Amino acid sequence: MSAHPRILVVEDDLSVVQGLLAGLRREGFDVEVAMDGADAARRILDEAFDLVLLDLMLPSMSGFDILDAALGRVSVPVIVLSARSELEARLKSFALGAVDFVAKPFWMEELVARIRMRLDLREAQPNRLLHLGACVVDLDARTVTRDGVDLGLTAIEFNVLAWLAERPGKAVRRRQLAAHVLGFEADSDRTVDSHVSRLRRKLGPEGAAIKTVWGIGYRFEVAP
Amino acid sequence: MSATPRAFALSFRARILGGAVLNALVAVALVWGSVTFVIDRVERHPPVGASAQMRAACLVDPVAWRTQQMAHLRVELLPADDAAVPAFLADVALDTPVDAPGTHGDIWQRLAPDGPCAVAHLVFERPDAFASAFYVGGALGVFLAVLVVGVASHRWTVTPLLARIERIRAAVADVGEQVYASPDDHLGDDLSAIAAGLDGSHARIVAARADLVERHQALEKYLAEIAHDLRTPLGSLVLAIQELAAERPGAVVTRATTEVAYLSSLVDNLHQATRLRHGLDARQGRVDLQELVQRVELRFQALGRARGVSVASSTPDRPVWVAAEPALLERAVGNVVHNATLHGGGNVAIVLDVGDDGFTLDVMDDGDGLPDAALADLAARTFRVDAARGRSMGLGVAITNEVVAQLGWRIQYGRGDDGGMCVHLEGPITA
Repeated sequence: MSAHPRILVVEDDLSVVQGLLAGLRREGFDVEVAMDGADAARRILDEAFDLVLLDLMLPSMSGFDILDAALGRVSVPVIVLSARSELEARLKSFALGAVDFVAKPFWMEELVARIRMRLDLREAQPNRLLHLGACVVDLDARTVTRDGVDLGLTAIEFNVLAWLAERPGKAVRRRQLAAHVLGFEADSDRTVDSHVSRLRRKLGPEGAAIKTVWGIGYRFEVAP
Repeated sequence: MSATPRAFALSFRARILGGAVLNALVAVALVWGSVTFVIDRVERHPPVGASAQMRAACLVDPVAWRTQQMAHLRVELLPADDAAVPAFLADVALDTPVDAPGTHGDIWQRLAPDGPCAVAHLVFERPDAFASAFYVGGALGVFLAVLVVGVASHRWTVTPLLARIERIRAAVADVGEQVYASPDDHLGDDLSAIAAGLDGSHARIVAARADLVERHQALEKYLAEIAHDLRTPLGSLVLAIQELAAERPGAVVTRATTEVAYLSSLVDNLHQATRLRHGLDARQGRVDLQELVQRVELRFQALGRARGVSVASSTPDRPVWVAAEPALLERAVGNVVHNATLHGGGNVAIVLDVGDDGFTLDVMDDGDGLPDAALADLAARTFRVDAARGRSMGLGVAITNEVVAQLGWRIQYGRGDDGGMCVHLEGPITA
């Protein structure tokens, strides 16, 4: 994802526009606004945006018409923002090419997470080299080094780290880890906990990236 | 009109069959009568005997009167001592005609104890073969005629009647449907009147259904407009509160965040409750539960962060498709997570799992949980019975229960392993 992705907000309600501008800019996005449907359609075709947030109820041209006109010609992910949550509105949005549908009112965190997810999907193949603080995790070579020195993870410890690191931000159940990494289920929760504990020790301060999630298991979180 | 007692109730087909059987019995009786008549005429002789007048006429000229022919009867009057007189006749009383033993139609009768013309010999002559054939043929002809008339009358009257009744019966099954075809033959009789009545019922049902669909669509449109009018300013309020929370966090902002989250849920719950009350089918549509859970997690992470509650989810690595109306299902699951975030402890976990038979979805918190009586009350809550709009979990739980019931899924309110609350949902997945 580029440093400051360029987002076009297509919305005619001034209060909502002000809230979106403040929230998205705070998250590091480069935001522009179109408050009229016809203007939005023209700008989508003429300018290069990384993503469009599109309201459906607009003056002069509806969100559906914009989708129909623009998406046939440009490839830009469009997330529909709408106070209409009926099935028909969702289905029509997706049928016209929208990639996501967020019903109003929404929380900024939710919207930002969905924006980041859609932008990440457009990026090239993810790098199999993961930088974790002072550590470098090579998912292909199956090594973890700090300042060039191998930390000596066992095969199972590396598998646990790789499984979690390949799902950043996603909570993974102990049972899933056991099934996919350890290959057996008997007494698996305690065995998993034991392996994670040893892994954290070997990673040192970077072990804090492996968070315990109550009621579920673990999650890999890398500080932005 | 009194109803026929059930013991004697017969279908019209049974009655027609009974009538046909009776007709057949009558035909058989007629044929039997004909044949009996024929047999009697052909095979049996009528009761005959010589009379006193015959003897008197014979006595005038015994030689000339010896043999007389009368239609099918040949009469001989013989003297008592004639050699042709059979011996058995001596024991027979006077004026009693008897058949000669072993014969039929060979009759002897003693008219006097002795003298000329004392014994009568009567011989019944059977009709010839042609006549016999004529009589038998006549009987058969009667039988065939009755049979032909019976079959023809059945084909001409009963079969068309049955066909019309069958058309009316078939039309009854299709009343109100697009495939309905009028069974009216326009013959102006009772069956036509019934068919015309059926046509009228069909037209009324179609009109009523069209009216219902139109009202439903108008209501959906009206609800959508109201929801839109409420959600738009609510959306900007939510964004403003979050902006305030980012710039000036504090207890007041946390309270405002909680209230605006409650207000958002309330508006959506009221909208969905009205849609459900007016016949919305919760099963229309298809939803990826994996994506839905992730969306709900994101939404309530914001509220959770404001209240110091951690909200996390675990989902399979692949889509989990279920048949459900997306907005309704998201509201139903969202209500459960919202309640856990508001009333639980410091952690909320949403766990989606999928097996061969279907999915399970557990929403757990580490709060204080609820007593058994309160858990039972939650499970029984529906918005048709209790449209609570207070600060309790009322409407949200009621909508969740209603949606789950309509989808044919199962929901259970219980205690988690850590003592908090656990809401368990399970249901089938679709391809």
